[in-house]
Amino acid sequence: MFGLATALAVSLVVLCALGALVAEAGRVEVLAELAKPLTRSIIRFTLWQAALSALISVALGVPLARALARRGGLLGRRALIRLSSISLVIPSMVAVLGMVAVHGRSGWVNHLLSALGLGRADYLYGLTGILLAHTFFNLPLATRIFLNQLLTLPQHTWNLAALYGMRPRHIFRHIEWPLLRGLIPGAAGMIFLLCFTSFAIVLTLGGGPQSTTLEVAIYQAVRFDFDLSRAVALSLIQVALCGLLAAGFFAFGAPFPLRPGDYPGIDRPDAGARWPRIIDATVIATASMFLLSPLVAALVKALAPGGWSIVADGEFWSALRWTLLIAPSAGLLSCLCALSLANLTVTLRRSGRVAGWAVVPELVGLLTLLAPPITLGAGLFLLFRRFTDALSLGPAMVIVLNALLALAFAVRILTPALQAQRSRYDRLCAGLGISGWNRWHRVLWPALRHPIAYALAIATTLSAGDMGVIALFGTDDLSTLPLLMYRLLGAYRVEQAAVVAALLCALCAGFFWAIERLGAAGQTSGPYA
Amino acid sequence: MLEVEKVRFAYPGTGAVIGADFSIQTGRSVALMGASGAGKSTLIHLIAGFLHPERGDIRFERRSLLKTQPAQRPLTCLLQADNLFAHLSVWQNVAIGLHPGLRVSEAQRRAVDEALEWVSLTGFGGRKPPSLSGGQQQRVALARCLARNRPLLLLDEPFSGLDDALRAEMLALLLKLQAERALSVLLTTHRRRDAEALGAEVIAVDGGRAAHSESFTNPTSAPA
Repeated sequence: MFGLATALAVSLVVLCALGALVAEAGRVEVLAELAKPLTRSIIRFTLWQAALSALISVALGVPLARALARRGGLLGRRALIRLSSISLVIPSMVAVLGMVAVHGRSGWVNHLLSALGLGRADYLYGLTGILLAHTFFNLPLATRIFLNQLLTLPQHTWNLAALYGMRPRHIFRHIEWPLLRGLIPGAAGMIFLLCFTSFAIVLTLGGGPQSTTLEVAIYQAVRFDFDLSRAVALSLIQVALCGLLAAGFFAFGAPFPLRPGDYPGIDRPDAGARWPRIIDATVIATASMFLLSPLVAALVKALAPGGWSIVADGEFWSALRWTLLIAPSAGLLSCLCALSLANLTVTLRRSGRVAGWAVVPELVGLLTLLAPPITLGAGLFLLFRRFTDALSLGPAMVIVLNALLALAFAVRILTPALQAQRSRYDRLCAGLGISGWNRWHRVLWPALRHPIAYALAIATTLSAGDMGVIALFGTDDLSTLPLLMYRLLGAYRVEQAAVVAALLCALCAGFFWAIERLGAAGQTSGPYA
Repeated sequence: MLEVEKVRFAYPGTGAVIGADFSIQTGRSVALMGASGAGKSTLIHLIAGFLHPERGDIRFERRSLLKTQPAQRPLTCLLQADNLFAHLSVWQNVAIGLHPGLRVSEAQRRAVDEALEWVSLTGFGGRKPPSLSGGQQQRVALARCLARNRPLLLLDEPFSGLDDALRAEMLALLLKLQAERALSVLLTTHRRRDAEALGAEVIAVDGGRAAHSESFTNPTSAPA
């Protein structure tokens, strides 16, 4: 029954936010807003940058996945794959800082260009910067989706390919491409959706009204222009578009590899040839440079002595305290909700007669796709404005919204684990009368503690790195480390921002380590490895 | 006496239906025989209470079991798979049949030890099931059935996956158990020899017929 209550509570929050938007819509000319050239150009740009980001990530993801699949024994391959598996939880502000350090006006690339006597290039702010950052986040995602698929090919396929003397291009055309083709729409669709609702990257690297997404425009209408009717109109447009896109997304049913899998090296007949070697080396080296340089550059900046003065700042300690409060609370709330939704899903699936309803809790977990953070936040902001000062509820809002946003991930981690355990032991438990606390404590927890810890770590890290909800509800008194970074970058205090970035990463790594340790503690033999 | 009276069950979705009408005298054995897919396991699950018949009644000593939870029924069962919790020790796997929270009394402790001794697994109490052979795992599950001490024992393909030597060992254990405890036993098997070795009355299902309705009845009683 917890599952039902959670499903209702989550839907209630999302639907109330949407309801508040719709209720305001009566007083707002949505169509008039839609007719404005500025609004139209924002919508066009939002779609355009998302489409380009998806295209680039997928187009580069295929050769990168192919190169990684072909080079089973490559030194550092494992590390690169591991790194790409955490790309989703790298705080967006850390990536932005890295982008500035590598591609900014006085970044590494410009240093290199001027050292070569080629002058300076100013390309970071605007569409290029947005695409660079989106590729940084989504190329690893696309690559992992494709790589997972390529590695499902068993050794005997390669033995056959060698037996028939297939050349690399034959292998691509007749073995690899048919395997990857089916995944491309789903992968591209998912990346499109992620970039469509992108906020922090566009806010920091957009650089002007001509490159703004709907999420950023809603944020600006709420926080800077105090133009609530515009915010409502834009939010409703956003929800409508997201609804359409999410429906398409479900139609494709994209895979979502969260866990770093086992990536065995396979003996391939095309690994030894000369051209593939050169191509793979180029692809892997370029991709590693592109993906690693921002992180290394951010770290190098953090090591500069100038930035550490931030530690003496009261602002920093306040931001650290809020991050330490908000992230674990949101992570815990998200995990509890995900667990009860997962349980409801499994119960419904196993019930036979009403098994068709099992998609409902899953959809509830994904409701946030319909209303991305800023839109959802704007709705709640409008709702609570009627009763109280909405900003005074900031901390609670930030926790609840972050928990909702991490829900999609947590549900996807916990449902399969719970399903496996329950389909194995439900009968035995019923036969022996093991129920309630005993069933949880003796049967479910031992197998679920690891996935629960993993989901909790993901949700906590995502919340710690969030720079969406906090931007909307942040005040002088309420700021987190990512918001502090945003303010420091805005004031050109890049070194100090880099120090905060390093500490934020250390904090996230600390959360991950501590929570996963907690999950593994006391476990003598892991049924879930 | 177990009475399965005019039970009818329809599988959700598929439209397939099974029917059953038979009884087992106290202290006797009945073997359900038939091809796989004939509904033997379904019948075990209906009696155990994991599934609910849409018609008919299941009674033990003249009292209907249909409204009773599986754990409250006067029976214990050995399922085809997943009889043991992989993360609990052998001893805990037996003890959890006596108290679902493993808070066992001194007398129950002794019962667990005796049951393990009875299936010749003394000294294996601290091991985890994945480290045991298939036959040993089956015996741990049987030890739990024994410790639970219920008058009716349901066995779903208790010999599947066992080689001839282990099969003989398991048969011997069952015969000894039945002799000592006067249990009523219902088992499913696809080998007539196993049923005969247990001295069980055989209720056969014509598995060759591709019919949507199968009926399990005592040879002596009228068909449902």
